Amino acid sequence: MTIDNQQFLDALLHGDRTLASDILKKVHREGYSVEDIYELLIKPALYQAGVLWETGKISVATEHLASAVVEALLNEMYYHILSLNQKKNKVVVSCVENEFHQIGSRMVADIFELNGWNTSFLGANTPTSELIHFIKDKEPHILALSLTLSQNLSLLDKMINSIRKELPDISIIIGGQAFNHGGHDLVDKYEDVRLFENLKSLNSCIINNC
Amino acid sequence: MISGDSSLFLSEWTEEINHSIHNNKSLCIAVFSCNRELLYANAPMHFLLQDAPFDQLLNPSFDQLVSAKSESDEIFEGHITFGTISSLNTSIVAKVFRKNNKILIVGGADMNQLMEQNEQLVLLNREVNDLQRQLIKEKVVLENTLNQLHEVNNKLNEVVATKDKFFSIIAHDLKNPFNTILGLSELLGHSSDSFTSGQIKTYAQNINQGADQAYRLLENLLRWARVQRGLLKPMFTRITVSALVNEVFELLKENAEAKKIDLILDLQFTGFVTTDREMLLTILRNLISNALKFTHTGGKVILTTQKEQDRIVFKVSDTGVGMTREVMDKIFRIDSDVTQKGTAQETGSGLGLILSKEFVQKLGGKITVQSTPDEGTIFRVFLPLPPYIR
Repeated sequence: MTIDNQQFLDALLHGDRTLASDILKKVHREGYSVEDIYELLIKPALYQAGVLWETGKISVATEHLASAVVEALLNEMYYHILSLNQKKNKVVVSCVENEFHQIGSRMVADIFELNGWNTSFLGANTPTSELIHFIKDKEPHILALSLTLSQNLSLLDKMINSIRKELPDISIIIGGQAFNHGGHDLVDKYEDVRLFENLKSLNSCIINNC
Repeated sequence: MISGDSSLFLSEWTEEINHSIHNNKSLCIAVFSCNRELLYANAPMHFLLQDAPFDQLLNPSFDQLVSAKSESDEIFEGHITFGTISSLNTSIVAKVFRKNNKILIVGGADMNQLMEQNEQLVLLNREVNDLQRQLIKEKVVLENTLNQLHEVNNKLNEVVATKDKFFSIIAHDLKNPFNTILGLSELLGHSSDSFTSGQIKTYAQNINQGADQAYRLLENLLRWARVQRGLLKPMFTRITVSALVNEVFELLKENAEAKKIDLILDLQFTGFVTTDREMLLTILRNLISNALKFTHTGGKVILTTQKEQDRIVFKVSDTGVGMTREVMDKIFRIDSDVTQKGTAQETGSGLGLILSKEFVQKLGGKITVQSTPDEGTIFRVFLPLPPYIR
Protein backbone atom coordinates (compact mmCIF):
# COMPACT_ATOMS: atom_id res chain seq x y z
CA MET A 1 0.00 0.00 0.00
CA THR A 2 1.22 3.52 -0.75
CA ILE A 3 0.82 6.16 1.94
CA ASP A 4 -1.48 9.04 0.97
CA ASN A 5 0.42 11.92 2.56
CA GLN A 6 -1.78 14.62 1.02
CA GLN A 7 -5.00 13.16 2.41
CA PHE A 8 -3.37 12.85 5.82
CA LEU A 9 -2.08 16.44 5.71
CA ASP A 10 -5.53 17.73 4.69
CA ALA A 11 -7.08 15.87 7.62
CA LEU A 12 -4.57 17.44 10.02
CA LEU A 13 -5.06 20.97 8.68
CA HIS A 14 -8.83 20.62 8.98
CA GLY A 15 -8.55 19.20 12.48
CA ASP A 16 -10.26 16.02 11.25
CA ARG A 17 -8.88 13.68 13.89
CA THR A 18 -11.20 10.83 12.93
CA LEU A 19 -10.04 10.78 9.30
CA ALA A 20 -6.38 11.18 10.31
CA SER A 21 -6.77 8.35 12.80
CA ASP A 22 -8.43 6.11 10.20
CA ILE A 23 -5.55 6.71 7.77
CA LEU A 24 -3.00 5.93 10.49
CA LYS A 25 -4.81 2.77 11.60
CA LYS A 26 -5.11 1.57 8.00
CA VAL A 27 -1.39 2.08 7.41
CA HIS A 28 -0.63 0.25 10.67
CA ARG A 29 -2.93 -2.63 9.68
CA GLU A 30 -1.12 -2.85 6.34
CA GLY A 31 1.98 -3.80 8.30
CA TYR A 32 3.90 -0.54 8.56
CA SER A 33 5.91 -0.40 11.77
CA VAL A 34 5.63 2.42 14.30
CA GLU A 35 8.90 3.96 13.08
CA ASP A 36 7.67 3.71 9.45
CA ILE A 37 4.44 5.46 10.35
CA TYR A 38 6.34 8.20 12.17
CA GLU A 39 8.90 8.57 9.41
CA LEU A 40 6.76 8.13 6.31
CA LEU A 41 3.35 9.46 7.37
CA ILE A 42 3.57 11.84 10.31
CA LYS A 43 6.95 13.51 9.73
CA PRO A 44 6.34 14.52 6.09
CA ALA A 45 2.91 15.91 7.02
CA LEU A 46 4.34 18.01 9.84
CA TYR A 47 7.24 19.24 7.69
CA GLN A 48 4.75 20.20 4.99
CA ALA A 49 2.58 22.02 7.55
CA GLY A 50 5.74 23.90 8.59
CA VAL A 51 6.38 24.90 4.98
CA LEU A 52 2.79 26.08 4.58
CA TRP A 53 3.18 28.20 7.73
CA GLU A 54 6.54 29.59 6.58
CA THR A 55 5.05 30.61 3.25
CA GLY A 56 2.03 32.24 4.90
CA LYS A 57 -0.46 29.72 3.52
CA ILE A 58 -1.75 28.71 6.96
CA SER A 59 -1.98 30.51 10.29
CA VAL A 60 -0.13 29.49 13.40
CA ALA A 61 -3.51 28.46 14.83
CA THR A 62 -3.95 25.93 12.01
CA GLU A 63 -0.43 24.66 12.60
CA HIS A 64 -1.25 24.26 16.30
CA LEU A 65 -4.44 22.43 15.39
CA ALA A 66 -2.51 20.03 13.16
CA SER A 67 0.04 19.49 15.95
CA ALA A 68 -2.72 18.83 18.49
CA VAL A 69 -4.25 16.19 16.21
CA VAL A 70 -0.83 14.57 15.71
CA GLU A 71 -0.21 14.45 19.47
CA ALA A 72 -3.57 12.73 19.89
CA LEU A 73 -2.58 10.23 17.15
CA LEU A 74 0.75 9.55 18.85
CA ASN A 75 -1.23 8.70 21.97
CA GLU A 76 -3.28 6.25 19.91
CA MET A 77 -0.04 4.58 18.83
CA TYR A 78 1.28 4.54 22.39
CA TYR A 79 -0.64 1.36 23.15
CA HIS A 80 1.43 -0.43 20.50
CA ILE A 81 4.64 1.16 21.73
CA LEU A 82 4.54 0.31 25.40
CA SER A 83 6.93 -2.43 26.28
CA LEU A 84 6.54 -4.24 29.57
CA ASN A 85 9.93 -5.84 29.13
CA GLN A 86 11.80 -2.84 30.41
CA LYS A 87 15.58 -2.80 30.06
CA LYS A 88 17.89 -1.11 32.49
CA ASN A 89 18.87 1.49 29.89
CA LYS A 90 17.65 4.99 30.63
CA VAL A 91 17.17 7.95 28.30
CA VAL A 92 16.05 11.52 28.89
CA VAL A 93 14.41 13.15 25.88
CA SER A 94 13.95 16.89 25.77
CA CYS A 95 13.59 19.92 23.55
CA VAL A 96 16.02 22.80 23.64
CA GLU A 97 15.18 25.80 25.79
CA ASN A 98 12.79 28.10 23.87
CA GLU A 99 11.91 25.30 21.46
CA PHE A 100 8.15 24.80 21.62
CA HIS A 101 7.83 22.08 18.98
CA GLN A 102 7.84 18.84 20.93
CA ILE A 103 6.37 16.27 18.54
CA GLY A 104 9.78 15.30 17.12
CA SER A 105 11.14 14.65 20.58
CA ARG A 106 7.96 12.76 21.50
CA MET A 107 8.55 10.44 18.54
CA VAL A 108 12.19 9.96 19.59
CA ALA A 109 11.02 9.08 23.12
CA ASP A 110 8.54 6.60 21.65
CA ILE A 111 11.26 4.87 19.59
CA PHE A 112 13.32 4.40 22.76
CA GLU A 113 10.26 3.17 24.68
CA LEU A 114 9.43 0.79 21.84
CA ASN A 115 12.83 -0.80 22.43
CA GLY A 116 12.16 -1.22 26.12
CA TRP A 117 14.20 1.75 27.36
CA ASN A 118 13.23 3.50 30.55
CA THR A 119 12.27 6.82 28.95
CA SER A 120 11.79 10.21 30.59
CA PHE A 121 10.17 12.73 28.28
CA LEU A 122 10.55 16.36 29.32
CA GLY A 123 8.97 17.96 26.26
CA ALA A 124 9.03 21.51 25.00
CA ASN A 125 11.03 24.47 26.28
CA THR A 126 12.99 22.78 29.04
CA PRO A 127 15.22 25.25 30.88
CA THR A 128 18.85 24.06 30.72
CA SER A 129 19.39 24.35 34.49
CA GLU A 130 16.34 22.16 35.18
CA LEU A 131 17.43 19.66 32.54
CA ILE A 132 20.88 19.34 34.14
CA HIS A 133 19.29 18.93 37.56
CA PHE A 134 16.98 16.23 36.18
CA ILE A 135 19.84 14.35 34.47
CA LYS A 136 21.89 14.36 37.68
CA ASP A 137 18.93 12.86 39.47
CA LYS A 138 17.99 10.26 36.83
CA GLU A 139 21.51 9.36 35.63
CA PRO A 140 20.44 8.35 32.10
CA HIS A 141 22.72 6.56 29.63
CA ILE A 142 21.70 8.93 26.86
CA LEU A 143 20.36 12.46 26.59
CA ALA A 144 18.36 13.04 23.40
CA LEU A 145 17.80 16.64 22.32
CA SER A 146 15.42 17.67 19.57
CA LEU A 147 15.50 20.89 17.58
CA THR A 148 12.88 21.97 15.06
CA LEU A 149 13.74 25.59 14.27
CA SER A 150 17.19 26.20 12.79
CA GLN A 151 17.11 29.67 14.42
CA ASN A 152 17.61 27.86 17.72
CA LEU A 153 20.88 26.14 16.69
CA SER A 154 22.93 28.61 18.73
CA LEU A 155 20.75 27.84 21.76
CA LEU A 156 21.42 24.14 21.30
CA ASP A 157 25.15 24.84 21.11
CA LYS A 158 24.93 26.84 24.34
CA MET A 159 22.87 24.13 25.98
CA ILE A 160 25.30 21.31 25.06
CA ASN A 161 28.17 23.46 26.30
CA SER A 162 26.48 23.97 29.67
CA ILE A 163 25.59 20.28 29.97
CA ARG A 164 29.14 19.20 29.08
CA LYS A 165 30.58 21.41 31.82
CA GLU A 166 28.42 19.75 34.45
CA LEU A 167 28.11 16.26 32.95
CA PRO A 168 31.22 15.58 30.83
CA ASP A 169 30.52 11.86 30.35
CA ILE A 170 26.93 11.74 29.22
CA SER A 171 26.22 10.58 25.65
CA ILE A 172 24.19 13.14 23.76
CA ILE A 173 22.23 12.51 20.61
CA ILE A 174 20.62 15.30 18.61
CA GLY A 175 18.21 15.49 15.72
CA GLY A 176 15.21 17.26 14.29
CA GLN A 177 14.00 19.35 11.39
CA ALA A 178 16.54 22.10 12.15
CA PHE A 179 19.33 19.89 10.78
CA ASN A 180 17.76 19.59 7.35
CA HIS A 181 19.57 22.71 6.25
CA GLY A 182 22.83 22.60 8.19
CA GLY A 183 24.00 22.55 11.76
CA HIS A 184 26.16 19.48 11.17
CA ASP A 185 29.32 21.33 12.26
CA LEU A 186 27.85 21.40 15.76
CA VAL A 187 28.39 17.64 16.03
CA ASP A 188 32.11 17.96 15.27
CA LYS A 189 32.60 20.45 18.10
CA TYR A 190 31.83 18.00 20.85
CA GLU A 191 32.90 14.51 21.76
CA ASP A 192 30.22 11.86 22.10
CA VAL A 193 27.55 13.96 20.44
CA ARG A 194 25.84 12.17 17.57
CA LEU A 195 23.37 13.46 15.02
CA PHE A 196 20.59 11.20 13.78
CA GLU A 197 19.04 12.21 10.49
CA ASN A 198 15.90 10.14 10.95
CA LEU A 199 14.07 7.78 13.25
CA LYS A 200 15.04 4.71 11.21
CA SER A 201 18.76 5.25 11.80
CA LEU A 202 18.05 5.95 15.49
CA ASN A 203 15.99 2.77 15.80
CA SER A 204 18.61 0.54 14.18
CA CYS A 205 21.26 2.11 16.40
CA ILE A 206 19.20 1.33 19.52
CA ILE A 207 18.56 -2.23 18.33
CA ASN A 208 22.27 -2.81 17.60
CA ASN A 209 23.46 -1.16 20.83
CA CYS A 210 25.69 1.17 18.85
CA MET B 1 2.53 51.34 20.67
CA ILE B 2 0.70 53.73 18.32
CA SER B 3 2.79 56.17 16.33
CA GLY B 4 1.79 59.15 14.18
CA ASP B 5 -1.42 61.05 13.59
CA SER B 6 -3.88 58.86 11.71
CA SER B 7 -5.84 61.78 10.19
CA LEU B 8 -2.62 63.16 8.77
CA PHE B 9 -1.25 59.97 7.31
CA LEU B 10 -4.30 57.87 6.55
CA SER B 11 -6.43 60.52 4.78
CA GLU B 12 -4.69 59.92 1.48
CA TRP B 13 -5.41 56.13 1.74
CA THR B 14 -9.20 56.37 2.21
CA GLU B 15 -10.01 54.29 -0.87
CA GLU B 16 -7.50 51.55 0.01
CA ILE B 17 -8.62 51.52 3.64
CA ASN B 18 -12.29 51.23 2.67
CA HIS B 19 -11.44 48.40 0.27
CA SER B 20 -9.42 46.62 2.95
CA ILE B 21 -12.14 47.08 5.57
CA HIS B 22 -14.71 45.63 3.23
CA ASN B 23 -12.56 42.61 2.41
CA ASN B 24 -10.81 42.18 5.74
CA LYS B 25 -11.34 38.82 7.45
CA SER B 26 -10.71 39.88 11.04
CA LEU B 27 -12.15 43.40 11.30
CA CYS B 28 -15.91 43.32 11.77
CA ILE B 29 -17.89 46.39 10.80
CA ALA B 30 -21.64 47.08 10.54
CA VAL B 31 -23.96 50.06 10.28
CA PHE B 32 -27.59 49.88 11.50
CA SER B 33 -30.40 52.37 11.47
CA CYS B 34 -31.85 52.91 14.94
CA ASN B 35 -35.20 51.66 13.67
CA ARG B 36 -33.80 48.16 13.27
CA GLU B 37 -32.43 48.07 9.76
CA LEU B 38 -29.04 46.64 8.82
CA LEU B 39 -27.57 49.15 6.36
CA TYR B 40 -24.08 47.65 5.87
CA ALA B 41 -21.97 44.73 7.10
CA ASN B 42 -18.66 43.50 5.77
CA ALA B 43 -18.03 39.76 5.25
CA PRO B 44 -16.86 38.76 8.77
CA MET B 45 -19.69 40.78 10.35
CA HIS B 46 -22.16 39.01 8.03
CA PHE B 47 -20.72 35.74 9.27
CA LEU B 48 -21.42 36.78 12.87
CA LEU B 49 -24.88 38.23 12.24
CA GLN B 50 -26.00 35.41 9.95
CA ASP B 51 -29.59 35.85 8.71
CA ALA B 52 -30.99 37.35 11.91
CA PRO B 53 -28.80 40.35 12.74
CA PHE B 54 -30.90 41.70 15.60
CA ASP B 55 -31.33 38.30 17.26
CA GLN B 56 -27.62 37.51 16.92
CA LEU B 57 -26.55 40.55 18.94
CA LEU B 58 -26.73 38.69 22.22
CA ASN B 59 -24.91 40.97 24.65
CA PRO B 60 -25.40 43.85 24.57
CA SER B 61 -28.62 43.52 22.56
CA PHE B 62 -29.50 45.90 19.75
CA ASP B 63 -32.19 47.50 21.91
CA GLN B 64 -29.69 48.06 24.73
CA LEU B 65 -27.33 49.77 22.29
CA VAL B 66 -30.09 51.98 20.85
CA SER B 67 -31.22 53.10 24.30
CA ALA B 68 -27.70 53.47 25.78
CA LYS B 69 -27.12 56.83 27.48
CA SER B 70 -23.96 58.66 26.47
CA GLU B 71 -22.71 62.21 26.24
CA SER B 72 -20.62 61.49 23.16
CA ASP B 73 -21.10 59.50 19.93
CA GLU B 74 -19.34 56.53 21.49
CA ILE B 75 -22.01 54.56 23.32
CA PHE B 76 -20.19 51.30 24.10
CA GLU B 77 -16.71 49.82 24.38
CA GLY B 78 -16.03 46.20 25.31
CA HIS B 79 -16.86 42.66 24.31
CA ILE B 80 -19.89 42.14 22.09
CA THR B 81 -21.16 38.58 22.05
CA PHE B 82 -22.90 37.23 18.95
CA GLY B 83 -25.10 34.19 18.86
CA THR B 84 -28.15 32.89 20.69
CA ILE B 85 -28.62 31.34 24.10
CA SER B 86 -28.92 27.94 22.45
CA SER B 87 -25.87 28.12 20.19
CA LEU B 88 -22.10 28.45 20.45
CA ASN B 89 -21.29 32.16 20.85
CA THR B 90 -18.42 34.34 19.70
CA SER B 91 -17.17 37.59 21.16
CA ILE B 92 -15.28 40.45 19.57
CA VAL B 93 -13.76 43.53 21.16
CA ALA B 94 -15.65 46.47 19.69
CA LYS B 95 -16.64 50.06 19.90
CA VAL B 96 -20.19 51.20 19.13
CA PHE B 97 -21.04 54.71 17.96
CA ARG B 98 -24.43 56.38 17.51
CA LYS B 99 -24.77 59.31 15.16
CA ASN B 100 -27.55 60.67 12.93
CA ASN B 101 -29.97 57.99 14.11
CA LYS B 102 -27.51 55.30 13.03
CA ILE B 103 -25.39 52.77 14.91
CA LEU B 104 -21.82 51.85 13.87
CA ILE B 105 -20.16 48.73 15.28
CA VAL B 106 -16.41 48.32 14.68
CA GLY B 107 -14.43 45.53 16.25
CA GLY B 108 -12.39 42.41 15.92
CA ALA B 109 -10.53 39.75 17.76
CA ASP B 110 -8.56 40.67 20.87
CA MET B 111 -5.10 39.59 19.71
CA ASN B 112 -3.53 39.56 23.17
CA GLN B 113 -6.31 37.43 24.52
CA LEU B 114 -6.12 35.14 21.50
CA MET B 115 -2.41 34.60 21.94
CA GLU B 116 -2.68 34.03 25.67
CA GLN B 117 -5.57 31.63 25.26
CA ASN B 118 -3.83 29.85 22.41
CA GLU B 119 -0.78 29.28 24.58
CA GLN B 120 -2.92 28.14 27.49
CA LEU B 121 -4.82 25.74 25.25
CA VAL B 122 -1.60 24.31 23.84
CA LEU B 123 -0.32 23.72 27.40
CA LEU B 124 -3.67 22.28 28.45
CA ASN B 125 -3.65 19.97 25.44
CA ARG B 126 -0.18 18.76 26.40
CA GLU B 127 -1.32 18.10 29.95
CA VAL B 128 -4.29 16.13 28.64
CA ASN B 129 -1.95 14.17 26.33
CA ASP B 130 0.41 13.37 29.19
CA LEU B 131 -2.51 12.24 31.31
CA GLN B 132 -3.86 10.11 28.47
CA ARG B 133 -0.46 8.44 28.07
CA GLN B 134 -0.27 7.83 31.80
CA LEU B 135 -3.70 6.21 31.66
CA ILE B 136 -2.72 4.05 28.67
CA LYS B 137 0.40 2.96 30.54
CA GLU B 138 -1.56 2.09 33.66
CA LYS B 139 -4.14 0.25 31.53
CA VAL B 140 -1.44 -1.88 29.91
CA VAL B 141 0.10 -2.66 33.30
CA LEU B 142 -3.34 -3.59 34.65
CA GLU B 143 -4.07 -5.79 31.64
CA ASN B 144 -0.74 -7.50 32.13
CA THR B 145 -1.43 -8.04 35.83
CA LEU B 146 -4.85 -9.41 34.96
CA ASN B 147 -3.33 -11.84 32.45
CA GLN B 148 -0.84 -13.01 35.05
CA LEU B 149 -3.68 -13.49 37.52
CA HIS B 150 -5.59 -15.54 34.96
CA GLU B 151 -2.51 -17.62 34.34
CA VAL B 152 -1.98 -18.25 38.05
CA ASN B 153 -5.67 -18.99 38.44
CA ASN B 154 -5.56 -21.53 35.60
CA LYS B 155 -2.52 -23.17 37.18
CA LEU B 156 -4.29 -23.29 40.53
CA ASN B 157 -7.34 -24.89 38.91
CA GLU B 158 -5.06 -27.43 37.30
CA VAL B 159 -3.38 -28.16 40.62
CA VAL B 160 -6.76 -28.66 42.26
CA ALA B 161 -7.91 -30.89 39.38
CA THR B 162 -4.67 -32.87 39.60
CA LYS B 163 -5.13 -33.39 43.31
CA ASP B 164 -8.78 -34.45 42.78
CA LYS B 165 -7.74 -36.87 40.04
CA PHE B 166 -5.05 -38.34 42.27
CA PHE B 167 -7.45 -39.01 45.12
CA SER B 168 -10.12 -40.30 42.74
CA ILE B 169 -7.68 -42.87 41.29
CA ILE B 170 -6.56 -43.99 44.72
CA ALA B 171 -10.15 -44.13 45.98
CA HIS B 172 -11.69 -46.03 43.06
CA ASP B 173 -9.39 -47.33 40.36
CA LEU B 174 -6.66 -48.62 42.62
CA LYS B 175 -9.13 -49.98 45.17
CA ASN B 176 -11.03 -52.17 42.66
CA PRO B 177 -8.20 -54.56 41.70
CA PHE B 178 -7.29 -54.92 45.36
CA ASN B 179 -10.88 -55.94 46.12
CA THR B 180 -10.46 -58.75 43.60
CA ILE B 181 -7.04 -59.74 44.92
CA LEU B 182 -8.10 -59.66 48.58
CA GLY B 183 -11.44 -61.41 47.98
CA LEU B 184 -10.09 -64.26 45.87
CA SER B 185 -6.93 -64.77 47.94
CA GLU B 186 -9.05 -64.92 51.10
CA LEU B 187 -11.35 -67.46 49.44
CA LEU B 188 -8.39 -69.58 48.38
CA GLY B 189 -6.79 -69.31 51.83
CA HIS B 190 -9.88 -70.49 53.64
CA SER B 191 -11.49 -72.94 51.24
CA SER B 192 -8.88 -74.10 48.74
CA ASP B 193 -9.58 -77.72 49.71
CA SER B 194 -13.10 -77.47 48.38
CA PHE B 195 -12.07 -76.14 44.92
CA THR B 196 -11.04 -78.14 41.93
CA SER B 197 -7.60 -77.52 40.47
CA GLY B 198 -9.31 -75.83 37.49
CA GLN B 199 -11.13 -73.39 39.79
CA ILE B 200 -7.94 -72.68 41.73
CA LYS B 201 -6.16 -71.95 38.45
CA THR B 202 -8.92 -69.54 37.35
CA TYR B 203 -8.86 -67.73 40.71
CA ALA B 204 -5.06 -67.50 40.62
CA GLN B 205 -5.26 -66.05 37.08
CA ASN B 206 -7.85 -63.49 38.25
CA ILE B 207 -5.60 -62.54 41.17
CA ASN B 208 -2.70 -62.18 38.77
CA GLN B 209 -4.75 -59.98 36.41
CA GLY B 210 -5.89 -57.83 39.32
CA ALA B 211 -2.34 -57.48 40.61
CA ASP B 212 -1.09 -56.69 37.10
CA GLN B 213 -3.79 -54.06 36.64
CA ALA B 214 -3.01 -52.52 40.04
CA TYR B 215 0.73 -52.58 39.35
CA ARG B 216 0.40 -50.86 35.97
CA LEU B 217 -1.92 -48.25 37.40
CA LEU B 218 0.43 -47.67 40.31
CA GLU B 219 3.33 -47.37 37.89
CA ASN B 220 1.48 -44.76 35.84
CA LEU B 221 0.39 -42.99 38.99
CA LEU B 222 3.92 -42.77 40.36
CA ARG B 223 5.33 -41.58 37.05
CA TRP B 224 2.58 -39.01 36.75
CA ALA B 225 3.20 -37.85 40.34
CA ARG B 226 6.89 -37.41 39.49
CA VAL B 227 5.97 -35.39 36.38
CA GLN B 228 3.70 -33.18 38.46
CA ARG B 229 6.48 -32.56 40.95
CA GLY B 230 8.88 -31.74 38.16
CA LEU B 231 11.12 -34.66 39.08
CA LEU B 232 10.81 -36.58 35.84
CA LYS B 233 13.10 -35.11 33.20
CA PRO B 234 13.52 -36.85 29.84
CA MET B 235 16.83 -38.65 29.30
CA PHE B 236 17.46 -38.52 25.57
CA THR B 237 19.26 -41.51 24.09
CA ARG B 238 19.50 -42.97 20.61
CA ILE B 239 17.10 -45.89 20.34
CA THR B 240 16.06 -48.25 17.58
CA VAL B 241 12.40 -47.85 16.77
CA SER B 242 11.82 -51.49 15.74
CA ALA B 243 13.34 -52.85 18.98
CA LEU B 244 11.24 -50.61 21.18
CA VAL B 245 8.03 -51.32 19.30
CA ASN B 246 8.64 -55.07 19.48
CA GLU B 247 9.14 -54.77 23.23
CA VAL B 248 5.74 -53.11 23.59
CA PHE B 249 4.18 -55.81 21.44
CA GLU B 250 5.66 -58.56 23.61
CA LEU B 251 4.19 -56.88 26.70
CA LEU B 252 0.70 -56.64 25.24
CA LYS B 253 0.56 -59.73 23.05
CA GLU B 254 -1.26 -61.75 25.70
CA ASN B 255 -3.90 -59.06 26.25
CA ALA B 256 -4.61 -59.05 22.51
CA GLU B 257 -4.78 -62.82 22.34
CA ALA B 258 -7.13 -62.95 25.35
CA LYS B 259 -9.62 -60.74 23.44
CA LYS B 260 -8.83 -62.42 20.10
CA ILE B 261 -7.78 -59.08 18.64
CA ASP B 262 -5.43 -59.01 15.70
CA LEU B 263 -2.44 -56.90 16.88
CA ILE B 264 -0.58 -55.80 13.73
CA LEU B 265 2.77 -54.06 13.42
CA ASP B 266 3.36 -51.98 10.29
CA LEU B 267 6.97 -50.76 10.47
CA GLN B 268 7.37 -48.25 7.65
CA PHE B 269 10.17 -46.49 9.55
CA THR B 270 12.76 -48.65 11.26
CA GLY B 271 15.57 -46.22 11.90
CA PHE B 272 16.74 -44.46 15.04
CA VAL B 273 15.10 -41.83 17.16
CA THR B 274 16.65 -39.74 19.91
CA THR B 275 14.20 -39.75 22.76
CA ASP B 276 13.52 -40.96 26.32
CA ARG B 277 13.11 -44.71 26.06
CA GLU B 278 10.94 -45.18 29.17
CA MET B 279 8.64 -42.32 28.29
CA LEU B 280 8.10 -43.53 24.72
CA LEU B 281 7.54 -47.06 26.02
CA THR B 282 4.88 -45.79 28.43
CA ILE B 283 3.21 -43.72 25.69
CA LEU B 284 2.97 -46.64 23.24
CA ARG B 285 1.95 -49.14 25.92
CA ASN B 286 -0.84 -46.84 27.13
CA LEU B 287 -2.10 -46.14 23.62
CA ILE B 288 -2.12 -49.81 22.57
CA SER B 289 -3.65 -50.91 25.89
CA ASN B 290 -6.31 -48.31 25.37
CA ALA B 291 -6.96 -49.51 21.79
CA LEU B 292 -7.23 -53.14 22.96
CA LYS B 293 -9.58 -52.11 25.75
CA PHE B 294 -12.05 -50.43 23.40
CA THR B 295 -11.89 -52.93 20.54
CA HIS B 296 -14.32 -55.83 20.30
CA THR B 297 -13.24 -59.46 20.05
CA GLY B 298 -12.20 -60.18 16.45
CA GLY B 299 -11.19 -56.55 15.81
CA LYS B 300 -7.84 -55.09 14.78
CA VAL B 301 -5.26 -52.83 16.43
CA ILE B 302 -2.46 -51.61 14.17
CA LEU B 303 0.71 -49.79 15.16
CA THR B 304 2.33 -48.01 12.23
CA THR B 305 5.64 -46.15 12.25
CA GLN B 306 6.19 -43.56 9.53
CA LYS B 307 8.67 -40.81 8.71
CA GLU B 308 7.03 -37.52 7.90
CA GLN B 309 9.47 -34.71 6.95
CA ASP B 310 11.48 -33.98 10.10
CA ARG B 311 9.51 -36.17 12.48
CA ILE B 312 8.49 -39.75 13.18
CA VAL B 313 4.82 -40.67 13.53
CA PHE B 314 3.59 -43.54 15.70
CA LYS B 315 0.04 -44.28 14.60
CA VAL B 316 -2.16 -46.52 16.79
CA SER B 317 -5.42 -47.30 15.00
CA ASP B 318 -8.20 -49.62 16.06
CA THR B 319 -11.52 -50.90 14.80
CA GLY B 320 -13.10 -50.29 18.19
CA VAL B 321 -16.08 -48.42 19.57
CA GLY B 322 -14.72 -44.96 18.75
CA MET B 323 -15.57 -41.72 20.50
CA THR B 324 -17.86 -38.74 20.07
CA ARG B 325 -16.37 -35.26 19.62
CA GLU B 326 -17.43 -34.41 23.17
CA VAL B 327 -15.48 -37.35 24.63
CA MET B 328 -12.46 -36.62 22.40
CA ASP B 329 -12.33 -33.06 23.75
CA LYS B 330 -12.06 -34.40 27.30
CA ILE B 331 -9.73 -37.39 27.17
CA PHE B 332 -6.52 -35.40 27.64
CA ARG B 333 -7.95 -33.06 30.27
CA ILE B 334 -7.10 -33.57 33.89
CA ASP B 335 -10.22 -31.71 35.06
CA SER B 336 -12.62 -34.08 33.28
CA ASP B 337 -13.74 -37.36 34.73
CA VAL B 338 -14.49 -39.13 31.49
CA THR B 339 -13.90 -42.84 32.03
CA GLN B 340 -15.52 -45.62 30.09
CA LYS B 341 -15.51 -49.35 30.57
CA GLY B 342 -13.87 -51.43 27.84
CA THR B 343 -15.65 -53.86 25.52
CA ALA B 344 -14.92 -56.66 28.05
CA GLN B 345 -15.92 -54.46 30.98
CA GLU B 346 -12.27 -53.49 31.64
CA THR B 347 -12.00 -50.59 34.01
CA GLY B 348 -9.61 -47.64 33.76
CA SER B 349 -8.80 -44.29 35.24
CA GLY B 350 -8.10 -42.28 32.07
CA LEU B 351 -4.72 -41.50 33.57
CA GLY B 352 -2.82 -43.34 30.82
CA LEU B 353 -3.84 -40.88 28.10
CA ILE B 354 -3.18 -37.83 30.28
CA LEU B 355 0.24 -39.18 31.16
CA SER B 356 0.94 -39.99 27.50
CA LYS B 357 0.14 -36.43 26.48
CA GLU B 358 2.44 -35.00 29.18
CA PHE B 359 5.27 -37.33 28.12
CA VAL B 360 4.82 -36.46 24.42
CA GLN B 361 5.09 -32.77 25.32
CA LYS B 362 8.20 -33.43 27.38
CA LEU B 363 9.72 -35.17 24.37
CA GLY B 364 9.05 -32.10 22.20
CA GLY B 365 6.29 -33.74 20.19
CA LYS B 366 2.54 -33.65 19.89
CA ILE B 367 -0.33 -36.11 20.10
CA THR B 368 -3.56 -36.04 18.09
CA VAL B 369 -6.72 -38.10 18.09
CA GLN B 370 -9.21 -38.82 15.36
CA SER B 371 -12.26 -40.98 15.98
CA THR B 372 -15.64 -42.02 14.62
CA PRO B 373 -18.18 -43.72 16.90
CA ASP B 374 -18.61 -47.43 16.04
CA GLU B 375 -15.79 -47.31 13.49
CA GLY B 376 -12.63 -46.80 15.48
CA THR B 377 -9.97 -44.42 16.71
CA ILE B 378 -6.54 -43.27 15.53
CA PHE B 379 -3.99 -41.78 17.91
CA ARG B 380 -0.91 -40.20 16.30
CA VAL B 381 2.25 -39.33 18.20
CA PHE B 382 4.63 -37.01 16.38
CA LEU B 383 8.19 -36.87 17.67
CA PRO B 384 11.08 -34.86 16.22
CA LEU B 385 13.77 -36.81 14.39
CA PRO B 386 17.45 -36.00 14.91
CA PRO B 387 18.88 -33.74 12.16
CA TYR B 388 21.03 -36.51 10.60
CA ILE B 389 17.92 -38.58 9.86
CA ARG B 390 15.78 -35.72 8.58
